Amino acid sequence: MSLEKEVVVDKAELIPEVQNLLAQKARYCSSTCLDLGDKFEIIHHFQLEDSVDFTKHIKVRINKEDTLPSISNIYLAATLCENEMQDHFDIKIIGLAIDFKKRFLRAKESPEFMLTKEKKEEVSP
Amino acid sequence: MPWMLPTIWKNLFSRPVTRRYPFKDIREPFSGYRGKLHFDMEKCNLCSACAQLCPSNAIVVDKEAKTLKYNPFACIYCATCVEACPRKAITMDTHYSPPATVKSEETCRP
Amino acid sequence: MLPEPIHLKLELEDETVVGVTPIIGYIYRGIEKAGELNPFRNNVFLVERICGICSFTHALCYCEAVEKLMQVEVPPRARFIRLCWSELSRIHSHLLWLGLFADAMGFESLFMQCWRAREIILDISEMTAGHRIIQSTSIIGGIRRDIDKEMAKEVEHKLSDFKELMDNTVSPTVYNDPTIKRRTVGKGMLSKEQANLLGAVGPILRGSGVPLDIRQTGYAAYKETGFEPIVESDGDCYARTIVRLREIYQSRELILKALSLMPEGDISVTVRGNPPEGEMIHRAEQPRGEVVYYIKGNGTRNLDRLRVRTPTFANIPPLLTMLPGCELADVPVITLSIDPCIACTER
Ligand code: SF4
Ligand code: SF4
Repeated sequence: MSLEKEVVVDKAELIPEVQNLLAQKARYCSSTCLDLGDKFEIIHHFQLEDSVDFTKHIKVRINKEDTLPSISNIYLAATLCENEMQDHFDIKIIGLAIDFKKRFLRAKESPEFMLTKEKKEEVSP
Repeated sequence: MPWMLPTIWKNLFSRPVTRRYPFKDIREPFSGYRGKLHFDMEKCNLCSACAQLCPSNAIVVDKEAKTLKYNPFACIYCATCVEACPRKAITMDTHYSPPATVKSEETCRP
Repeated sequence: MLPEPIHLKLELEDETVVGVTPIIGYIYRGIEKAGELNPFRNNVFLVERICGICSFTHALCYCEAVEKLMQVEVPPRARFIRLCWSELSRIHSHLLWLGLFADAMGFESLFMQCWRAREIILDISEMTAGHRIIQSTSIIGGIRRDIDKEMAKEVEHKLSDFKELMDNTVSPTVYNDPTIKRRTVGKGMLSKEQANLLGAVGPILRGSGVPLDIRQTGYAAYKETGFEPIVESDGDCYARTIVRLREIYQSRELILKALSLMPEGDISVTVRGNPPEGEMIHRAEQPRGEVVYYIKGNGTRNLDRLRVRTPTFANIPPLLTMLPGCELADVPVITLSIDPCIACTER
């Protein structure tokens, strides 16, 4: 089962797509990042103004070494979610409105990027 | 200010609405309260169904040594084990465990 | 007084705040990771511990997400009782907040009265669910305790006591007291457009005049009981207070309605197997606003990903736009007016 009303976009199409949503007065909800093994998948969840149900999920897949353009200059609310992704997955996000430099949730002695898959064994439950 | 006087007068002579815990007037818990766990080791056959389902690993069953170890300080009093035990060997009473100075484990033997 | 571990770096010009940077990360617990390592049934108890106040709504939202993914139909009676508990948690959360808010303004006796009224609600929780706050009564496939006729009577009785106490003490004070008004009216303004754009949720959004409440989507039994969001249009701290106060009364009505409409029947179904491969997103309305659960199953008993977006997380950006321009002395009041729960924010 997959999410209803999802759109998969390329990295280059992400910013125009989000700007399009801003023009439609969509409300930013949340962002989720997934580790698919060789790729990261980032889902931005939006809600259109005139309905209570979720209306749009924008999915971007990027290679692990790739950078991701930040949408926080369009929706300031996304900056916290993107900082969290940086903390958890070591994604390089460019153009963050507020950049905590991978120290948003983690302290110096915290485990490294704990939600990525290949390091699963190192983290004790 | 004068409209406050009756309230002040009343509060001066009425009893406090708080309870003097832990010395006096402690409210009885309601009958469905999930309190301390008791293991009836006569009934238990060390099947370890409870240990497998416990979300916080508070129960450890050792079949070799024939013991069941229960750690009340890891337990979250969720009653999953009580429902899971096929022989109804675990019961809960309605009193919460009192605060303690050392974290101890209980070891039960059949 | 701010009972939350958040560090706001303020830039001041005389007494006026001109810039603010939030610094969090003092109580990060890694619950999202733990959710991947735990079996999915045990996660119910884990997600309840994300927040110490809205814990039941977390469990409800997680259970409904997994049930939706596994295509399990929950018995209607269970849905009604879930509604009752989540509304109870809303009442006690709003009262807790109102107490702390009053305390932040230096209004100690209102704080005491709020918590006194809250005690009645906690008693109802203990009586019906077995524990006062972290109830652990929702499981995948339904609930674990029934509310029978006698107990429902007792709940109604206690709720009418509660209403009497609220009518006599808390609400007249909030509506009429000049001290509260002077500290809150016109402070921390957030316009309708800003609230929408910054992704504000819950009473902050509704205090700014946007009629959005996730209960409108009709999860649990909100479809059957009917639901209308409460909206105030001023967009200041006082409007948020009034939204929450009116929601307390609305929640009480909802509980009474659910208890009277509750159908007979089972309270849970047995759920076998593991969550199938696939992803699911589910939202619920917590006392502080909308919570988003994203789960991804992979056919085993562990989930591939569990993501929780808690309400305070979404309310921090609005806070950052509310603070610049206010006076230093108003910072605690404005910060508390979003009902911050930093433990949920960091998870
Ligand atoms: S489930 Fe019951 S019988 Fe089995 S080990 Fe636990 S207490 Fe003993
Ligand atoms: S009550 Fe819950 S946490 Fe405690 S031992 Fe039983 S299953 Fe484990």
